[in-house]
Formats: sequence, C-alpha cells, structure tokens
Amino acid sequence: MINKESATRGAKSVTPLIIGIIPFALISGITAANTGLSLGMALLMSIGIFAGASQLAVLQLLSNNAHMLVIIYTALIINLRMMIYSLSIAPYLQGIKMRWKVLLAYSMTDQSYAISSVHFLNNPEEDYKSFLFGASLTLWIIWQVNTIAGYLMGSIIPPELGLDFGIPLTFIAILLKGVVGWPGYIAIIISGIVAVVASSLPMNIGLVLAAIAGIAAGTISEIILSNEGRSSGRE
Amino acid sequence: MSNLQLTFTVIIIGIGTFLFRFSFIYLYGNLKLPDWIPRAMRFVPPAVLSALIFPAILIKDEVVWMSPQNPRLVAGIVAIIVAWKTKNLLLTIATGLGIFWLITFI
Repeated sequence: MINKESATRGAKSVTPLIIGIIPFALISGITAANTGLSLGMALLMSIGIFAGASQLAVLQLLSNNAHMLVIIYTALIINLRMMIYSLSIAPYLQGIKMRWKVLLAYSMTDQSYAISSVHFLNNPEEDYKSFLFGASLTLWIIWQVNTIAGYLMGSIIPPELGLDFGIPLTFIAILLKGVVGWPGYIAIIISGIVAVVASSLPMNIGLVLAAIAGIAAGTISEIILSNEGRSSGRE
Repeated sequence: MSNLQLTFTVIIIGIGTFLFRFSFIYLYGNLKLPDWIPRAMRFVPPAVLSALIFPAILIKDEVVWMSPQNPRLVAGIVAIIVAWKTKNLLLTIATGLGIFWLITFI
C-alpha cells in the first residue's frame, strides 16, 4: 500500500524541477513533430523509453538518417547510467512486491533518482517506495502531458529560443544542492574535464569515461582525505 | 527508415532502458557486492550530472567555446553561483535562462 504522506512529500520534492522539465518535454514533442513522427510514435517514445536525453538523441539521429543500430546503441549508452541509479537505489526498494519494483524501475529518471537518493540518505524513516512513487509519477505525468503539448505546438516554438538549455541548468541546480564536501567537488571537476576533453570521441563514449573518472576521483580522494584526518588526529 | 523499423527501434531502446533501470533493483540481495561499490556509488550522481553539464555549457558545434561571448557558459556560471549561494532550484533555472536569453537576443 502507498503511504499518502510519503507519496505527497515525494511529489512536492520534485515540483521545483518542473520548470526545467517542461521545456525539455516541450522540445522533445516539438522535435518529434518536426521530424515527421506521428503523434502515436511520439507517444510510443515518450512512454516506452521515458528518458528525455536519449529520446532527443534518437530524434536527432533520425533526422540525420542514421542507421537503426547506431540509434539503438547511442540511446542505450546514454541510458546506461540508469544501471548505476538502479544499484544505488536498490537497498531502499527491498521487501516490496515485484510489481512495485517493476513500476518504480520503469518510472525512475535522473530527477526522481537524484531527489530521492539525497532525501533517503537524510531521512532514513521515510517510506521509500511511496516517496519514489510520488516523485516519479509526478514527473511522468508532467513529461507526457508536455510532450503532447509540444507535439501539438509543432513548429510554433522555434528551436532558436534554446529552451533546451533548461536541461543543464536543472542539472546544475540538482548537483549543487546535493553535493557537499571535497571528494564530491573533486568528482564533479574531474568528470566535467574528462567529459569536455573526450566529447569528440565517437558513440558518446566520452560521457561514460567521464562518469568513471569522476567516480574514481571522488572515491580515491575520500579515502586519502579520511586517512589524513586519522593520522593527524582530526578524525 | 520505415515506420515498422522505427517502431522496432523504439521498442528495443525501451526494453533495454527498462532492463538497465530494473537490473540491480531486481538482483539486489542475490548479489554480494564488495564494500567499495556502495562507497563509490555515492559519487555517481555528481559525476554523471557533471559529465552532462560541462559539455552542454562549454561545447558548441563540437568545439570548446571558452569566451564571455558564449551565452551558455556565462549563464551556466551565473547559475552555478546562484545554485551555490541559494540552493534554490527554481531561482537557479530562472536566472540561468534569463541571462541566456539576455545575451542571446540582445
């Protein structure tokens, strides 16, 4: 059963992110219309994949007439990070019914993961399932409604407005809200540098390399910093 | 690409993405993980988000654009400062988009 208070907290926790997601969903709908997709196909994408960055990549590659396999590969590489979210959130989702695991896995996004994982760390008493459900369901509805709205707007909103810039801004806000302490900052800086340097590598490999470098840098610097703290008696 | 091919493509990506999301939620408990993995996991969100942010504000048409003329870079830096000082998501995004439009359209 769903704990309504927890689900409401989850839903409320993602409301500040909506302003960043609406333009993202609108762009996704508008691009789908501009690429010549039917509304049905646009909905199959937004409901079946439900991962915005990969959906936008699919649309861009479609308009470049890319090969089917390249489209599949690129979208999956972009979404590979979900495996890490799955690993990170898994301890909180044990002892619940399989259909809940399926539903919560399907609906997990960057935003609902980011908000929930930070919230769970600070609130061990939370009803995890209900909170994540509230957060994900809210984002799911916002995403679908605005994808359809974007599709219907079609070419009225020019891409030159650059509303897709709301995406990195959303990520900046999430990042600086959640990360505290030097190991985290080091992970951010190393990952960012690698992502930029490796951005010209084919097949979006740069994103994967950057994430691995950032995680390694954060983990190693945490170990070094905690050892220093111990040896100088500041522990 | 035909409609049938596209449908197939979207379904494959959908299934693959679901399996990524479901993988460890399903396997957890049946899988004994070494201690360093959960420790390293805490750095996943900052690392992945950062890998999405930096190229988005620094790279334009596959070239690094480190200049005050780059509206995404300037707006991004302002957004970072606002996010740092206020921890306010809405304010960060609104300020960032505002600065971006100001530089782009004026």
